[in-house]
Amino acid sequence: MGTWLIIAGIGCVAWWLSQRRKPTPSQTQSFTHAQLEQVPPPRQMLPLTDPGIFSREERGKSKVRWISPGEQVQIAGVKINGGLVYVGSVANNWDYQYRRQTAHIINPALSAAAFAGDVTAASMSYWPHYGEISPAARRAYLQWHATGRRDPRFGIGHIFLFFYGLEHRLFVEKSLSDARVIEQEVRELVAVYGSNQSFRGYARKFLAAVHVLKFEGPISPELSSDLLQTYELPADFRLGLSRRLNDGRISGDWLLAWYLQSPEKSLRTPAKRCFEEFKSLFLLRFAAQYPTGLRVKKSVKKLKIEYQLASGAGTVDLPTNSDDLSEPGGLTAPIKVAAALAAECCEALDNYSRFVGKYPTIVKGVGARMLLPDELKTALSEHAGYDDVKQAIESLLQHEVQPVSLSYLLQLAGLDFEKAGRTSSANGVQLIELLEHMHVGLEPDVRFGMKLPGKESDVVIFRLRGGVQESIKSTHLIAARILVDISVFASSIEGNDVQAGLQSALSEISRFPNLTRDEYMRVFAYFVYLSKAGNKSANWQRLASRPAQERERIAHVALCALTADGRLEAQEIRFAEKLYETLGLPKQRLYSDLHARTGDEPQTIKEADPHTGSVPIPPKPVAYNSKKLPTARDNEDKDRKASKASGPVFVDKELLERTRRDTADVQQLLNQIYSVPEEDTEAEEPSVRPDVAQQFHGLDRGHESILALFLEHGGSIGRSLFESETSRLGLFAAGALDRINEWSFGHFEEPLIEDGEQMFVAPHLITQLKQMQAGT
Amino acid sequence: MTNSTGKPPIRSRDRDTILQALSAGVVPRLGLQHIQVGRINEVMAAVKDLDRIADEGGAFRVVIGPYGAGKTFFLNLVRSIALEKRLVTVHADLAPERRLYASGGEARALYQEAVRNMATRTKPEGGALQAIVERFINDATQAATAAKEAPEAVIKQRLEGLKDLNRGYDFIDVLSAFCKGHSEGNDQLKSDAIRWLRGEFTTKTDAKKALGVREFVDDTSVYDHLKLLAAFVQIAGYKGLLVVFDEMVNLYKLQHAQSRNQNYEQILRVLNDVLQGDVKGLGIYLGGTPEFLMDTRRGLYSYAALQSRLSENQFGGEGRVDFSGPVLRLANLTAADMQVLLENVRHVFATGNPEAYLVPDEAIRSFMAHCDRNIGAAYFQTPRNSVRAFVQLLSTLEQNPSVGWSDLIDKTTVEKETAPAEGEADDELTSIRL
Repeated sequence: MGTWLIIAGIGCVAWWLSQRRKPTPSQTQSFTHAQLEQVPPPRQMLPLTDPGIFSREERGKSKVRWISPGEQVQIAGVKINGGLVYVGSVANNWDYQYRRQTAHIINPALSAAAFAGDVTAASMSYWPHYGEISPAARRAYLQWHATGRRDPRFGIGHIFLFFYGLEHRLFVEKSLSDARVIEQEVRELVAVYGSNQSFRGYARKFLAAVHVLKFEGPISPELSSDLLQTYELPADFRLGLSRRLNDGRISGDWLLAWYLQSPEKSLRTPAKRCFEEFKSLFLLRFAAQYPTGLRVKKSVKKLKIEYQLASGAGTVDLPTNSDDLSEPGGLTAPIKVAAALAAECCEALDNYSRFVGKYPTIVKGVGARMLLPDELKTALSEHAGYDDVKQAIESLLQHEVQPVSLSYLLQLAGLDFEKAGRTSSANGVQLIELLEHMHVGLEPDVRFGMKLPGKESDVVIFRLRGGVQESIKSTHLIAARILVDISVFASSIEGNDVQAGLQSALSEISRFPNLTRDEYMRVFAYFVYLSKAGNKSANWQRLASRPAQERERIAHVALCALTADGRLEAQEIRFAEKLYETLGLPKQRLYSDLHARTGDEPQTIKEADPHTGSVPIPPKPVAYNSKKLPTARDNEDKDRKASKASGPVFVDKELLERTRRDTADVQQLLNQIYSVPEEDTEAEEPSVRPDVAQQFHGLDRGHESILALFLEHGGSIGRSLFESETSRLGLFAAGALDRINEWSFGHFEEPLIEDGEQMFVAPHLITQLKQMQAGT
Repeated sequence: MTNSTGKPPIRSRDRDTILQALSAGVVPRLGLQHIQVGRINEVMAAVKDLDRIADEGGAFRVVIGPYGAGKTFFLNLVRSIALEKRLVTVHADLAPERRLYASGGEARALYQEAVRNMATRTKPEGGALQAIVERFINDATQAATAAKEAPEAVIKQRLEGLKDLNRGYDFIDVLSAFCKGHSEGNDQLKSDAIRWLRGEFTTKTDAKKALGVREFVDDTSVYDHLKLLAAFVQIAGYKGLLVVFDEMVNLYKLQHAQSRNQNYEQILRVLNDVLQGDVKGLGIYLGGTPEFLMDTRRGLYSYAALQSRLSENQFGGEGRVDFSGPVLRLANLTAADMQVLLENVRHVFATGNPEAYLVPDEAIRSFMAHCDRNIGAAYFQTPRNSVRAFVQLLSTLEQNPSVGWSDLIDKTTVEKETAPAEGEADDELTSIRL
């Protein structure tokens, strides 16, 4: 039973408090500027117990007095120098309205504790009243005034108590003479006690109302992140906006301020985390979409501005000074436009926002700015530190192409935040885009699917003439990069001479057609990077999908790289086999192509210069001469057409002369071989009958007699006679014939006897034989 | 004409042989020096090889060139020079049924083919084996007569060196049997001995029965017998033996990896013997296409031991060419080569007399342009048909002096020649390649 009674009691108290916070319409005072001066003083004032604070003239006239700024007053022994308070007596009237209207009045008659005041205002109720607070709180309140009203240790109750008086002065007593001082006082209070949301809210409304009173609707709205905390349109803003709506169009800053303070706003993290960037982007995009401003249809509802007193004493109507102003608060169309635009901007800022969220400490670096949308990058050069980075990069670029440490670049760009290991692709893009903004390119470029090396490794930077206009999607560029990939990979195959391979590949790549200067520099930088870093893998999959002509070129360049050193190892051939297979080229042709490149004399493409450490810039690319490709059956038709078009068949004159010289040399060599008689070793062999003089020097007696037999028969005898004669002599027929012909080679450089059924001596040799026989 | 002066006249016999061969689309047997174009380094390398063989050394070369590069021509030229240097040559084209190593008689078939083609300077067309044997016995007999010794004893004494070689005893026995057959008038014995030497025996029983020897030339002993032949021809008065095997690509085409590798092992054995100086007076020349050498799956490079021995000199390159390595690469022919070749043919046609040229230089260029229009770049890369057509053109002009060359050129038909596809049996055609 007791519990129920306690709950009921608490409920009653809560209801009573809520009734106090919500002023009823009947309690609302409505007055205009003109009426402000006619507001009656509080209905009943109690006599002052300390009439010393009133002048002789004032005594008996008024029980409450406004202490002007700079005026001094002493209450309960405490000196208050700043003024801006009401001092007087308050009747002992328990009317709620009356109590709220007089809450701020300092009654000198009331006691204040001597020591240990309630500085934190813990003893004060939610709606404090000077007459109702404890003596300790009074002492603290008076002390707060005495210390200049800026001591942050004092609780917010003291500030509110003071604030009620300021409200009363401006909006109830309508006295604008001290308006400027009061406004300044409130601003300074907000600076000290603004951490209290309640007070900050009331103070903001107070200041807005002051603006309205002073006819100072904002000329252009102040766009600050504070607006994100606002969920209702301030009075001065409504007044200003309403005036703008009379023009028919509003600008981007008005729309954004409207949206930011609208209770219907829905903003994602990027807008809050990167408010300045969000604001800039919103305004830029608004200007792009609505160059002449957004047309807004006015509401039919008249503008009515009220100020709700923080003291709970009711509301006050503020003058708008114009009857044709409409209420903007209910308009939804502009809010929808703003919401769409804000969402779009948030999306565009996603990357930057995430980066800021992840690395809040280095967001100031120039590199981080590269995550911003393009519209915001245009002002990048105005960013602090941009020039320093640019200068440092310029000093690095001693040559058109320069290897530099990646970690150094990251440091310059303010992106060096990963402790170790690789840099992420996203950060790589940031770095690359920052460099491009400075007309400098970087390889390996992650936008081509490359990975940045470890931070301690080198990357290659190069000067761009066209800057960011260079298209990274150029098909020629992609093709050229594949060519570099493959050729560097081929050069580094085990067994190959890397330097020779690279030089050969470079020479071929320099002939790549249809590249702009910047693209060529990029390809060259990529080549330098891969040459230094080494390409240990090739992306085989993408090769097969290249056009036929390009695949031919890839094969050609790879073979050039493989065979540049004039040697071919099995590993190199295996690579070439795989390459041809991947490229879909006939494997059988590979060996012919390899042979064509190794069979002839190797040509030195470029003399190595041991004094220069870097590779010189090759000459300007010239049109690729497809005829330099190894002749393939596929190309025959094309070649035929070309030769038809060019008329007579083309023979290189220099080559022709060289061939003729070689031919003359080889024929001379062969003629020497074929014409020099062999040393006649058989001449030393003993004859059958050494006592008989030889007729045919070098032949033994038996073979001589065979020759003699031929001469007797006029140079021709039948085979049977030949065989019977050799048999008679104890010789084999074929062996004897071979011996005689061999002898003939030594003397006449040709065989003597023609074999067959009828064997005969070469007719033109008979005379010489007879002469030999005769010994002449 | 730079090549029209200072040349010795061409014998009509050489001229006719060359022209007949060219018009038939085959490589001439004689007079190759008259039509050889360029390749001075390669020829010099070959000449050095042959000199080394003649000097009781050894040589091993793999001549590599694509289809139409002139491998067969070059090998024939080398053979021709070898004959001129008093070497004996044997040559054969490899084919599916003729290999270096086999178990079904294919290796013996290769040996048979090679020995059938055994040539000397006096018998360049082949079939010189019997003449060499007979000449050896003639010389031995005469020496025996002069020394008043029994011929058989002299023969055995001269052949003593063969005993050091594998199967040398059988070889000596067979030669003795030939000698015996001659002295006894036993033609059958002589014939059996020659058949044995030619590798025509197929069983031990037959060999034992006919000649009393235990072994015969079988698939596993082809290289041993080539070494025996090399030693024998040196004893017979020749400088050495040059073995030429062309169309080695047939080994590459072997589908069975094991048999392919066994053949490559034989090549390795030969190569090792030559490089280590174990052979005297023997040279081996192999002709093949680039894939035979370089295919890492089925070519010589698939055999690691061969690959390391055949790879190029590591100091080669950068403008330096090493022609002493085992691989001799023949580059593809160029249009300039073709023009000089046609000029040479014209020179041969005129028997070396520039005043008797049937057509001017302009006609040669015109003919090349005609070929180019008809068959494209193939006209100089695989020039067999072009050369044949040119010889026929010259023949026609010679027989019909009244006809203008320009009229004939346009009417000349030149057929395109294509390389045989892989796996296609082309062994019959390869022997007539230019």
